[in-house]
Amino acid sequence: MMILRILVVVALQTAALAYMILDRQAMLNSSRVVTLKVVPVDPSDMFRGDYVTLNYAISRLDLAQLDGDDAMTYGDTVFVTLVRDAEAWKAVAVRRGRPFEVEGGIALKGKIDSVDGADAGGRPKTARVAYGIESYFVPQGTGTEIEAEARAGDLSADIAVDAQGRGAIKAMRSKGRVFYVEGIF
Amino acid sequence: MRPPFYIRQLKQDLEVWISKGLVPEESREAILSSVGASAGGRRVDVIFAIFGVILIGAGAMSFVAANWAEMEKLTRLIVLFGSMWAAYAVAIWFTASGRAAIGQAFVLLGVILFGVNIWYIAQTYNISAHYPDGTLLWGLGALAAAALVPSRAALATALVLGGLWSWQETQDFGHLLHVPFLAYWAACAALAWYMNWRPGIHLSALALIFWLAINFESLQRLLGWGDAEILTIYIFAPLALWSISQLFERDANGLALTVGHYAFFFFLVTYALLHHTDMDKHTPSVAWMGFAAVLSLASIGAVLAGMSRNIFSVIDLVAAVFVCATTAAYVFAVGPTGDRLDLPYRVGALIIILWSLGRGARFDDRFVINLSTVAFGAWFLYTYFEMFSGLMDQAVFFTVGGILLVALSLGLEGIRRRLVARAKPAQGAAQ
Repeated sequence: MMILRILVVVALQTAALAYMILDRQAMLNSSRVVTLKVVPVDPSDMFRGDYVTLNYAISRLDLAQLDGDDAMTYGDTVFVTLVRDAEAWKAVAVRRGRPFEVEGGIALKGKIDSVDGADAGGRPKTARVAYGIESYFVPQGTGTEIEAEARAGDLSADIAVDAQGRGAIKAMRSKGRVFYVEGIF
Repeated sequence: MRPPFYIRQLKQDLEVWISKGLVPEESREAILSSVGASAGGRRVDVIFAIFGVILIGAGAMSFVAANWAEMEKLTRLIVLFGSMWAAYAVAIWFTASGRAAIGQAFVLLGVILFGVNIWYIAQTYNISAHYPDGTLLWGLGALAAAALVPSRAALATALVLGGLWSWQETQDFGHLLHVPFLAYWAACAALAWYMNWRPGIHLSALALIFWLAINFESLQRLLGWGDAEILTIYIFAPLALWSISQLFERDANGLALTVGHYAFFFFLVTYALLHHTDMDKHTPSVAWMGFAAVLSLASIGAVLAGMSRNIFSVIDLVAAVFVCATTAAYVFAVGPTGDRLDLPYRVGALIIILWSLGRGARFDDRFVINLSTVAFGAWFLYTYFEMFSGLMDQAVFFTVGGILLVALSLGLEGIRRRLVARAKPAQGAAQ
């Protein structure tokens, strides 16, 4: 009986891990892809080895310049609507709870990480948004090379966006050339 | 589940009953397991095996990390899944060959590797969204193993991971009172109780205390109360919990005893810390006053209810009223009076420590006696080194305090002798 129970535990834990992989793969299979300019730094994490933190142009939003909501606080779930602007994509609207529809736009889901400044009505002027695409794991010791490329303004990321607005890094580019493609194996 | 002192006594009695032929030898294990104990002591081979798998888990993490860059994704997945499956396969092998205890150690290894796999899969696929979710998933995997196998080591792991998850949510993401932890904690605590595992109950209590401590600021943000008001939650609530838990039968219910002990520990520590709160001039809110009144009534009501059953004495009633009154008074007085509250609340803390010591001695409760002794030591050291700027003040305080304590001791001894002397003639007349 205990053997059967252990097998059930193995099945449950394996299913949880498999779900992580398959869910990510389903996101990467999305046909909606946006290209974003990035500027990384290189911290280290006890659990994750070396990785670079990717800052996007859309990570910091000037709320006065965007359509949608401007009253938001830390922890709010927001949808940032992106439209193509030459090679990269830029933010044109932000709204809490649901996407702000713009023709040709793709809404990326994120969470407000912090808000700064306040106008006369107490509404924030800028907001920092985390999209869950800020970490890119690299082989040990190569983080600084990628960071140098980013400093030179050469780095960009292709982000696959699923129907719920969740983003996943699909590919990394240096000077427009793809040097990494995310796949299941 | 029965408390340890009951089990110790039962084991001694069983040996006597078996030697006298009152109880058959073969019933020993069944009797002991019915009260949540076993005839044997802790097995050192199992402890070694658990330590060993922890080291193997650390070794596996380091091995994967060392070779990570050279591995293809498919190789990584084979290593990650394969190592976890291998751990559980060994657990099954040991269980099937009649060494279930060693098998349990490898279940723990499987749980550890499940967590390692979550982090390495997240790394492999660049999954970085809200990392406390990864800790929660690991904890749920451990909880599933704890409940299904069942595994005590997995339950302990689940409780530790639950604490880590709540820490990440509150400290790294500024979560406004991490309530979901309570559901997770309740599942762990219920499982510990169902498994009849006393250390699990202790760990559950510690996990809850940890959660309460790390949510201090969250509670403050949520309720908008001042430091002192928030700290009184940690006094009134455990005092009420302790008072109510004492109403349950002590020998028959180890859970009530354990809950009572931890509640008392928490209350004693926070009462001693009360005067450390910031001297903010926060006007007490109506909500806080209602809260303080309800929990004070609960504590005092439980003490009154227990007095008829000799669970509580008049001294306990006075102590409960004293704690509630001085705690509530502090919130009103903290702003206007500032540092002048330090001395009276030091004396108040000493009174409560002495009451606690007396109650522990009355019920022969070693936990309370030890806790009170440690509390007295901490109180003495703090008072000696921190409170007085002048040596004369210090000398007067300790001398007067010491004389009063010795006088109290002599007074109590005199009362005891008079009561014994009165009882003897009455017994003689009855014979």
